[in-house]
Amino acid sequence: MQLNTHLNKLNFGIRRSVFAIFSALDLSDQEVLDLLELSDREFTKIRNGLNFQLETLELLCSKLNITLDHLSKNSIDYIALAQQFSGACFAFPEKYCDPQGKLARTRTVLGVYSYLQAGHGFRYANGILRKLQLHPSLFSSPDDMVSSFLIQDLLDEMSKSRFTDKALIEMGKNAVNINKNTNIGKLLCPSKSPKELYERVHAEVLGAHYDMIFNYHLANANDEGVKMITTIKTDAQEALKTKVFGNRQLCLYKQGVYASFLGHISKSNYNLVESECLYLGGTQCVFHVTW
Amino acid sequence: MKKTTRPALGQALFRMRKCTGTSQEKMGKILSIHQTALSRIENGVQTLSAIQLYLMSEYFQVPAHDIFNQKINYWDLAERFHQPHPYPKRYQTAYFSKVREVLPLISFLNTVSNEETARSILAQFEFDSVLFQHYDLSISVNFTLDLIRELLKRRLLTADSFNVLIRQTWLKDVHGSDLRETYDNQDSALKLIQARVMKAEHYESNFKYKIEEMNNKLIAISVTPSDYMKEICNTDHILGGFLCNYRKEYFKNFPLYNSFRPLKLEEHNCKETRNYECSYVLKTA
Repeated sequence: MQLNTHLNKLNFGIRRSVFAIFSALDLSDQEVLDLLELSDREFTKIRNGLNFQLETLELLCSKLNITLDHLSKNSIDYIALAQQFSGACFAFPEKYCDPQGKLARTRTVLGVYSYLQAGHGFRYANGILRKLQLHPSLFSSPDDMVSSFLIQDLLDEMSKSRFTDKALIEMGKNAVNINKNTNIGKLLCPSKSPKELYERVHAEVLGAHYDMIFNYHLANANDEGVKMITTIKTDAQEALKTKVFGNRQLCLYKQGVYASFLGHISKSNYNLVESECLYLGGTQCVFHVTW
Repeated sequence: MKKTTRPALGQALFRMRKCTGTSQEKMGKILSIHQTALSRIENGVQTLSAIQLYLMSEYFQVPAHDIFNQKINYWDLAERFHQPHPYPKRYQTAYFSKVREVLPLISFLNTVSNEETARSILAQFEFDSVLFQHYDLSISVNFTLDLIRELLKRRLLTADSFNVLIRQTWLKDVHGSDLRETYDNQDSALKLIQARVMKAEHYESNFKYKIEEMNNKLIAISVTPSDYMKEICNTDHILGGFLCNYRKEYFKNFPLYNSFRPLKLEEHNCKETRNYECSYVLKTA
């Protein structure tokens, strides 16, 4: 009895999502048939209560860049869906559109995306973006500003997909590939020592080319290592309406990014330690890189 | 064009059920179907419905999207259900190898034999290539060694086919993105070998590699087996000899990964019959 109720609820939820999609996209009956690749007769049966077949649902999802889970959880942003369907693939879901929240850079998304694409293939990488109702073409220029919440959700999704802490650090390290042929690469490559490199990173790179959420402070730099401190900017706290923005995943990714800078001067022997973390009870994040 | 992935979904359901220690009876109740129907789904005879996929997703706590696309981390699933890793029992010890070390062997097997033979060999070890999706996962070295033994026994791995195996190690896909990034950035064959030696723990921890000397013309490497490996090599000299030769060929030719010329190898101290401690010098040709 209980299971039947649950099945009915599940069925009802999926049907509601699918028909809400048709309505949001303002589709005629023929357009629905074309989209689902169904005959008139098959669709009439569905209209009369027959359940959708799995392949039909997946086909609908893949054509609309959403996932099967969006249907069951009723978590579709219908406005973005309609915009994307009408050809505006540059449409973000509403939760990522608030201009005040756009304090991060596309660079981070590209770092994660290229890591996934290289290790798991395009299909998998696109699938992760699809879970957030995002399209890869939204992220072409690394310097574009994007929603801070998008970055947070993306890294959270990595964690849900069971990527380990080590993998998150590796994703951050991928920044060296994203930055190599950009102004950042040109700025950092001429550095004669790691110390000079990190001085340049703090003076010219982090403020200008990375997010506007965190203060990046080079607390100490000598010939053996550097100590770097990050805190959340007060105006970011106000804009994002939270005192502690971000998550541990973001911090692990940041560790990788810090390490990635050494790649510009081909320094592969180093040690990076985070001695304090905002997301593990600290008041700031403190990173030490020694070489 | 609609996808038809139903038999694969049935297999996924079977594996997920096994990994989590879920009985057929319990799974049947969860999916609200009879055990016979469950068997038919698992064997690909009957199709899985959308609702059943969602019920699977809820029970296993794996997104329906991931199940449909066969992106399931079986290791993680087993851990969450407090079950042993999805290996046969004899491969649940000696986790000294990594998935990426095995990939060239699987790729070799698919190259020198037909798909059915490859599948039957892996099935013999109760392994399924679908499990090899996460490059960095530690797996039992016993599996790697058993697979090599089987390939040697079946004469699939011979002096003639040795180069085919070595060639599989140059495939960029076997290393995974982070290592590829390191290798792709090396501008000479010697630096590439240096990077490979420094990343050795990403492949296996059966041997300890040390760079004894390096300049712009040569790199000298010493190799010391772990106690576990020493014992294995000393009881199976054919295997020990193979591993020794394989490693030398591997290092000599690894520069081809980045389209550099292979290196010349000079053996300095290769004690195949005693402890398998080797040292050699690789020089630019």
